Formats: sequence, C-alpha cells, structure tokens
Amino acid sequence: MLSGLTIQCCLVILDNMKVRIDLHGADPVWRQIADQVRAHLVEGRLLPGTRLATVRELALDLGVNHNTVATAYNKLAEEGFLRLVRGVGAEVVEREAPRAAKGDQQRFASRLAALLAEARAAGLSPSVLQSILRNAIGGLS
Amino acid sequence: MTDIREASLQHDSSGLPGGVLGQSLPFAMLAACGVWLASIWDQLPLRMPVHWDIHGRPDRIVSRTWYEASFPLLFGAFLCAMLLVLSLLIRRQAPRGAAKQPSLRIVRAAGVLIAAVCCAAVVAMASGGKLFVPAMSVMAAMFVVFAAYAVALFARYRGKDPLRNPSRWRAVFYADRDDPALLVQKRIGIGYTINFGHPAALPLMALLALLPIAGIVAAVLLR
Repeated sequence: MLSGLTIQCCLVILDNMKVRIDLHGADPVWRQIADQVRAHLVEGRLLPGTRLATVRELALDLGVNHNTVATAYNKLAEEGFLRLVRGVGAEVVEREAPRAAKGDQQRFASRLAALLAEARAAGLSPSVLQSILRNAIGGLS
Repeated sequence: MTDIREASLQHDSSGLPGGVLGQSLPFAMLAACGVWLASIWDQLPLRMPVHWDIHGRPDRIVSRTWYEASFPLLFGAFLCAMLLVLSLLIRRQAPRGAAKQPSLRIVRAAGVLIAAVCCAAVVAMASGGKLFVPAMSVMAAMFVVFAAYAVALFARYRGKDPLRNPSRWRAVFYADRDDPALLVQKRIGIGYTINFGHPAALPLMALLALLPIAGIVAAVLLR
C-alpha cells in the first residue's frame, strides 16, 4: 500500500517535471536539456531509481534530433547522475558528491560573475538577482 | 525569435491499450468465427448469398467454396492487421500528448468493430440469408456504440495539446526535416497526420497507395 502510494507520488512529481527548451536560445539544445535535468537531480527532485523518459520519447516530444537528447543524457551519465541501458533507457543513480577539483571554485565564480553581469545588462536589478540567487540556493539545501 | 518547447521527463511505460490480449481480440473473434464456419461446413447451403441490395434481397449468389465463405474473415484479418500496424506507428512514432491514448483506444475499438461486422456477414451468408436482418441490426448497433465511444473519448481531450511547431505547417500539411516524429497531431480535427519532412514519410505513403492494389491482386489470385 505504502509502496504503491510512493510510486504514485513519484509519478505525480515526475509528471510535473518538465524540460523546457528554446530552439533559438543562446545555449545549444543538448546543454539546455542537461542543465535542467541536472538541476532537478541536484535539488533532489529526481530520486535514485527513477526511470526517465527514453531518448526517443524526449526527442519525439521536443521535436529535436535523437542525438541531441542522447548527448545530454551521455553528459549526465559521464557526471555520474544517470545509468544508460540500451533498450531500457536512463535511470537515476545514487551519486557520491565529488570533491571539488583545484580551481573549480575560481572557475564557477568567474562564470557566475559573467552571468550576473549579463543579467544586470539585461535590466535585472540587484534585489531581483539576490532573490533569484536566494531561491536557487534554497533549492539546493 | 523564440521557439519554446516542453516535454515531460516521465517515462511512458504504458503499452498498447488492453495489452496483448486486448490487441488480439479482433483476431480471436475472426478465428472463432472461422472455426465455427469449419464446424458447420457440411450444413452450409451449396449456394450462398454474398451480397444484398438496399431492400435486403440477395443480389449475388455464389457456390459454396472455402474462399467465398471465408472471404469476409480474410478481409477482416487484413484490415485488423493494418490497424495493428497503425497502433504501433502511433505508439512508437508519435509524440506523447493528451490525444495519444484516446487515439490508440479508438483504433483498437475500430478493430473490434471490423471483426464483429465481418463475423456478422459470415453468419448472414452461412444462414443462406435467413439471419441477414438480425446480423444487420447487430452491425448497426455496434456502429452506434462505436460512434458514441469515439465522441466520448475525444470530447475529453479536445484542445489539450498545443499545435506542434506552428511555423512548419502549410494548410493541413506538416513538414519538418528536423522533427524525428513520423506522425504528429492534426492541425484541424482529430487524429494524426504524417510529417512529410520525415525520411520514412514517402515510403509510408507509397505503401499506403500500394496496399489496396496488393489486396485486389491477392483476391484475384486466391479466387
């Protein structure tokens, strides 16, 4: 009964979990997919053992090439988030948090600074950016 | 310019409606009718009506041969096989959406309807026309039930799925070489249409055009 409820609950959560891409966005589509799935994973919305939509399903739904979705899934598999099984699909796996490599902090700080500058240039105020960052960090804890 | 698209991360584990049993029901009905026909073969009239006019009078009577007697069943099996292929195409080649399951259910119901109509035709023939009116009544009732089922199913999903890739439509035709879907939801009306930009679209169209010709040739050769 309990496991049935758990499965049902997971399905409801997954049903609301979507990938949203902009075909003409600045980032390549595979990266948009990988980034959003990764965000779901690190925020704990996708639990180990969850089966994700297959490459074919996601490619058909988004109307993009299979290779685009496969590239995104492969990237996440390389990072240790997914296990890809031919003919079965992608499954979320338990992943130990890796130790940050030397220079990672500096690299991410530079990327974040560039992103913040882009947001400021687009007209977002510091208070709005602070709110966005607070929400994003809140989702990680 | 933006082109925003959205998809669920949920894996779709649902197969064809009814599973293997549900999908084989029309074939089981036709097979059962064939077995019944074989079991009463000696009692069948030597000359059987195979066609009736608008007033219900037989206007084509043929000699009792296995081909003439079982033709409705063979034809029904052919149509049901086509519907099964269509179901598999929708299942594997169409994007997920609110219309997918209703469409698959309608195709399955159409298979059952076709099998029932073919069985009714065999019963009418085997009875020498005596059971023509009851058989026609059953057919008419099944058509009404099928129509009501179709209307009820599609009324629920209507308008739930957004139009796919609006810039790639020319009137009612959809063509996008970059879209991996072979079948996409129609722009107007209910059901699916072919993505003419897909590499398999032309072979599929050619196959659909050739099938009736192949059917006629097979019927002539078997006669």
